[in-house]
Amino acid sequence: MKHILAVLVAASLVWSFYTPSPVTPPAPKSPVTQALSPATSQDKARVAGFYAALADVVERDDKTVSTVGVFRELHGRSLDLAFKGTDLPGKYPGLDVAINDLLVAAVGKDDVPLPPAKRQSLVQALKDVANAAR
Amino acid sequence: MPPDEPLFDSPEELVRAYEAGGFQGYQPSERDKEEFLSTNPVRAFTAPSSGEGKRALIWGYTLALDPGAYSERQTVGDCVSHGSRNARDLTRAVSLLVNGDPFSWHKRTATEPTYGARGHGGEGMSPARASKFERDVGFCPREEFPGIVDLSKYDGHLGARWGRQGGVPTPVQELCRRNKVGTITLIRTVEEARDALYNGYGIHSGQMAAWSARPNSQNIHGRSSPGWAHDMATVGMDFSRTFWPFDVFFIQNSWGRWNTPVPDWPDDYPPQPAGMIVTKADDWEVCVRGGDCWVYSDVQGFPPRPLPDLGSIGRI
Repeated sequence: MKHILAVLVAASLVWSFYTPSPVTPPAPKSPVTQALSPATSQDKARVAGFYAALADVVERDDKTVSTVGVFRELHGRSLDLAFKGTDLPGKYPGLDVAINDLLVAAVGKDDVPLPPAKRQSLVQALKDVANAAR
Repeated sequence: MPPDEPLFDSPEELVRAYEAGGFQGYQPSERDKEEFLSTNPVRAFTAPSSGEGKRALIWGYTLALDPGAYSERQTVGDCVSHGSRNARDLTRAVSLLVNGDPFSWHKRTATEPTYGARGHGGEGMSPARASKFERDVGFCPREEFPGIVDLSKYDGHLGARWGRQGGVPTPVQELCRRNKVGTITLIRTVEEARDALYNGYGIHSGQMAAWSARPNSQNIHGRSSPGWAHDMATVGMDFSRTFWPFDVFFIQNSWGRWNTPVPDWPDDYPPQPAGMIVTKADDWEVCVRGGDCWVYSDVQGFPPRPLPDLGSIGRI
């Protein structure tokens, strides 16, 4: 009887210290990554390179890209200069919306100036697009 | 001369009129000043922090949001409305880019409604009268308001005509009421002006004083005579003495390219706009001595406009 009691106590102690390790679900893929999932490595590199460069430009500038509206103009025209006439525009459905949503989440859609903190949010969002495309 | 022909066609004509012709763009008025101050919540300027030994090159903020700022050349005697506009747009730019106030720059603002409120049909205006209009009625952006007024391009005669016709039309006043200058006060000393600029507040002043069109050997524009009865905005100061060995203010004139820029310009400064006067603080003191130096703070900006997207839609 004593042995049975000891076994039960030991078992309950073991049980009390044992908690199954939580299974971490995989992080959801960024919508940008999802949109680019069928992309060739070359296309991914083109998108990643473009957004890394744009992040660099916006981060170093403190005169030209002064408002969200000016950024919108710069972004749109730069995309046209980089990719218009190539096979990229429209090749990966949802990519344009996914990028837009990420940027809007960072700085909003209001045409307001870009003081340093807001500019930094925008730069980080552009880097996130670049990283998600890799 | 027919009433709607430009009084001044060129920077040279402006210099001649103000200098030799005795033209009075700035009209001092103790009555207007007392009328404004007696209904103003604040009579005296108090600065949140001191700019002693510091610099405030704040016209660069306006240029960042409006690269064409300071390019409008007055064509009538409306210097007061140019000075006040440049001061309030400067305050607005700093509040947006430094303080992150939740407004939009939207556009440069217009001079015409302020000048139309000068209270008479002749040329010239008192700065206090401009302050009263902008505090009590407000100001408009430089844009067209279909069916009401086109303010998209500077038209000196519009304000001149409104003055002759008894004041700013009611529909235009209604447009102006959307934006006001919250706080306007008098600046009484050089130190107050230094501190106001350091805190990001634009200044304009009317005075009887002139500056040389050519820089002198000290790399500044020296005072000259005879004086101009003129109003201009002061858009920056450098009291650090790191480049100039004395304290300097930066005045922005509204005469276009009327003078020669100073030749030595620090690399880390914003661009030197056409028509800027670089002056010793000792020479600038005349701007407060006459008692018509006004600081604009707390300018109620424009509500931000939503953009359709941030540029990627349909392009990648």
